[in-house]
Amino acid sequence: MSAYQTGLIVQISITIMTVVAVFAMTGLAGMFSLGQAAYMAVGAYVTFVLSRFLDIPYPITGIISILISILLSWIIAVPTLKLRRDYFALITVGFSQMILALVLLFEDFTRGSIGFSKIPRMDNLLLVSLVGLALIIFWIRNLKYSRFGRMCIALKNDEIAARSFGIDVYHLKIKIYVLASAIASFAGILMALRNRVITPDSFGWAQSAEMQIFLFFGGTNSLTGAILSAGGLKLLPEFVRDVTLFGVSMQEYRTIIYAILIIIVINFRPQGILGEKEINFKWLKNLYRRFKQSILKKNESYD
Amino acid sequence: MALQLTINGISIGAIYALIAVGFAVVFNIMRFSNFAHGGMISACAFISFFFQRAFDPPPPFFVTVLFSAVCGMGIALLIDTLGYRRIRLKNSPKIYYFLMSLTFAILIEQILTVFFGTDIYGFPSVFKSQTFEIGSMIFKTMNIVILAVSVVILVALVWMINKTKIGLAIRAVAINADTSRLMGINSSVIVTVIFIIAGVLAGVSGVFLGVQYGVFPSVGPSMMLKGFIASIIGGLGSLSGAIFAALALGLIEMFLTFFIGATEATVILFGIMLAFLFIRPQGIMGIIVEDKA
Amino acid sequence: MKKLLLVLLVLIVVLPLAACQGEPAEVAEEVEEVAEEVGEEAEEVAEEVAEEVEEVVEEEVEDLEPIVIGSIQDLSGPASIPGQANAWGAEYAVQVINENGGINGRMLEIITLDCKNDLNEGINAYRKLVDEHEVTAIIGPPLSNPASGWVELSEEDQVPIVGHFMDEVCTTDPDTGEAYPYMFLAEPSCSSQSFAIAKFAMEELGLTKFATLYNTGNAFAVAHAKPFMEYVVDNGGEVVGEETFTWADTDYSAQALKIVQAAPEAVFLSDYVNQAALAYDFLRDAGYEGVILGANTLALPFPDLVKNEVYDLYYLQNYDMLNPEAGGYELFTTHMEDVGTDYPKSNAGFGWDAVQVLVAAMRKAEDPTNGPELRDLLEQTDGVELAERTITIDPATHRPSNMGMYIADYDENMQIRILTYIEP
Repeated sequence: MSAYQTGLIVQISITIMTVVAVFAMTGLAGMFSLGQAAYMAVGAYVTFVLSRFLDIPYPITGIISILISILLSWIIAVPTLKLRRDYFALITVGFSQMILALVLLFEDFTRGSIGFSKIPRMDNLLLVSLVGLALIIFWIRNLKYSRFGRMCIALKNDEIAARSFGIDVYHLKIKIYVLASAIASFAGILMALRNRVITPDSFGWAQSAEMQIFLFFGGTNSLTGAILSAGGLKLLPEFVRDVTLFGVSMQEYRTIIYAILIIIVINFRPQGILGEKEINFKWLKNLYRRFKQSILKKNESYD
Repeated sequence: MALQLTINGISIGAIYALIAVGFAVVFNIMRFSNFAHGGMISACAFISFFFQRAFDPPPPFFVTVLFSAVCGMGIALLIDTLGYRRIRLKNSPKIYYFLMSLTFAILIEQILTVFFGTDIYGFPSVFKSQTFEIGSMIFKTMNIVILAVSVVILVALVWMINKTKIGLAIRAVAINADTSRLMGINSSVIVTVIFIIAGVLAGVSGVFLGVQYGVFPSVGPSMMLKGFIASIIGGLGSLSGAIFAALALGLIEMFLTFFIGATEATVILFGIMLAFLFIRPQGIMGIIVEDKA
Repeated sequence: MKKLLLVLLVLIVVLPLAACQGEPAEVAEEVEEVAEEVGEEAEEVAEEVAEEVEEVVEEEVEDLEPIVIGSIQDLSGPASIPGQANAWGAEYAVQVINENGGINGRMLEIITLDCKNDLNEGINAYRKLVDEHEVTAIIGPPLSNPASGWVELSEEDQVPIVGHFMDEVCTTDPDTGEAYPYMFLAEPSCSSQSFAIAKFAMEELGLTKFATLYNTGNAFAVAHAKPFMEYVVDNGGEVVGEETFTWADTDYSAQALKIVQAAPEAVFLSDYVNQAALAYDFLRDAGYEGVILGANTLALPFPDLVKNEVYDLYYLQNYDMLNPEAGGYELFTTHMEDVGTDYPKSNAGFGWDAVQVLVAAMRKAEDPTNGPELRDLLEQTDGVELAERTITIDPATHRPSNMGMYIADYDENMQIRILTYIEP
């Protein structure tokens, strides 16, 4: 496998990781965050800045950075998650701006907009990201099939109804937000290891919005939908790199195409491409069974 | 110096107010934050720029403002038809509005970027002299015009909502859409009216932003965030609260930037916001809107 | 329970990181030792074989296989306007070189990819060029953001990159000051450009009190403003104000007010043209009437973007673009005709220059597709003819040592008027 391909796989695993975390947050708990990229920034910067200036190996500072993300997300979640969803969205946007401002303010350590370079090379990054991704997906899957997860889906994000069923929505929301933020900061560390340099531009609100869009494209209630759409939409531009339309590179149209796709999907299939479906063994079995039945039927009709 | 800062702060606060009210009006009825507003502003900025340039000599400034307002109206209605109508008819969860408006914001910005690039287009200067002085104070001519127009529009809007029949209907739908339908109010007409108002506001703020800061695809979205903050701090859906919060935001920002620095101001502003939500979650005007998704 | 799970997950995910850290280094050392032993023998054999093969194949193969080079430019994204001009310059240069017989008879092929001024995209584009197209060398973009991701990759893959990433951090290690072996800059760096304008302001205009107003979120602006202030202080001047803003700001009136209060004799604006134009207007609106200095981004169409009258404005220029006497005239007019633009773009010259530097090294190379050999030759670049002047690269920094900058202002018709040339 060429380094180009491994690099792409790592990048896609990182994207899927963040989108899966957003799935838990938005799809299950109905929180709309536009600041997840900021936690990636926290993960990346805290890990490698601490590691360089305190001379600690980065796996240890990596854990510290994830703990800091957990703390930060908890501080934000406690006052805002009691309130309307809009307040929460606002705070996450403000938070991501604040983190980027802090990166610029502490430029003696982070090198500001010029970028924090010379991040050590990690040889089995591919393995680590794939294992990390598998664990995260597994955990979120379990969350989805837990009592809380099923209730969320059944009630279509309706908090008041959920509360009337005796679910402590507030505390569950905090937990899920904290979890999603921890995952995002882990993804941030991986991204830094892949790019070998961190710049604040990589963590703008456009990145956060992209995660939400990927999620809704695949379907807010489908974990596999989120995974497939994140992987697919992230890969797509790499394939259309050399394609041009009216003399303009398709790259230019990329975001427009995403946006139009989303508008069509929300209008005509608001539950997302996959809707409620999960692609798993059961689904495959059903598919096979239906396929067999239709063949049988055809055969019958020929008789 | 404090006086000069106050003047500058109020001028930028007036622009924030126009945007914040555009948010608040839609929120009042639809119960979602219309992020597409920023995209609409950018689109109107471009439209008015090309309109102004298409004629020689350029048309009077108020004609451009009117034209842009009409275009803004059209864009708003188009977005409503393409984006929100089906969600409304299907009674889908509110979060789809949220996502749809975000998508439209991104879509408009990208279309503008592909066709016009990210470079700034300089709005031809409207007035012969950019500034005038009274005593030691420097006033920007444009700022005064913006302030005056904003005041007129906002007063007219508040009057319309509080004193006219259609305003009564809007308030009724805002309180309870289902009940008001039973009372014979055609809520789809109200929604159309709301988007017309939002479109006009976007059109007017588009021209102003274009004149003040130049015309580029992200001019709306970059300011939209401030409008969003103001509309939330003002108490979601409250028009006067939004105006008040927008002016306060403009002033706070101006003073923080002057005395502490721009980058630090971003951090402090976030702290203020978080503290504010903690202490007074209902916003300045104290209306609590329950989150019924 | 959930909390416990959370901590567990974090540990599980991060522990492999910890476990993996020590081993690879040891393994790598062993591998290296073995490789060295094998390598020496292999090299001898390879050399013999190569010599024989070369004699046989030389005449036939050389004109068959073109040399493939990559070009990574901002074809889209926030810097697409300069980026496209840069891409044009590089492609046009390759076309002209091929028309004139290529590199010692071998044709050049250039593959241009988009990096959107984004680090991630830049790395993808780089990997695609190196791994899939197997390019010999890469022409880099004019902006530093994507380039900073390649400093180590280019060393690992032995692919020389010549470009116009002006930040020093793209060519030298900020901690040690050593040059990154495979990165080469083909125009004066940010700091030498800032030194040039500061020198002009202090010596020719006789000013001593300065202020800066720049975007801390923009690497380009920061990398100009800091050395500018250093130069001023080192040469007996005074910096009375350092005001900043970020990408999120559109109103700089508070900063402008502060600068007016500090009463500098000149203000240095080092941003991209959008922010520089805004900053100019805010300064003039706040009543500032002194000199304004600018980076090379303040070229046309700057006067069209500002609402205030343009006066006492001096800015940097790389080329004397519209002077028929100057060497680059033909190139810039061809670009304007070809693309259909009203303004000459120095970026067209950048793309051209980068290719010239690379090609000069390739012409001298025994094997123009050999990365390490090209690198050594690039380091010795001396007096290579560019669009307008010649370039000599300092082997210690991998940046030009002989290139100065023009200082320009606007004449009555708002056209660029070159005033003087500042030697490095």
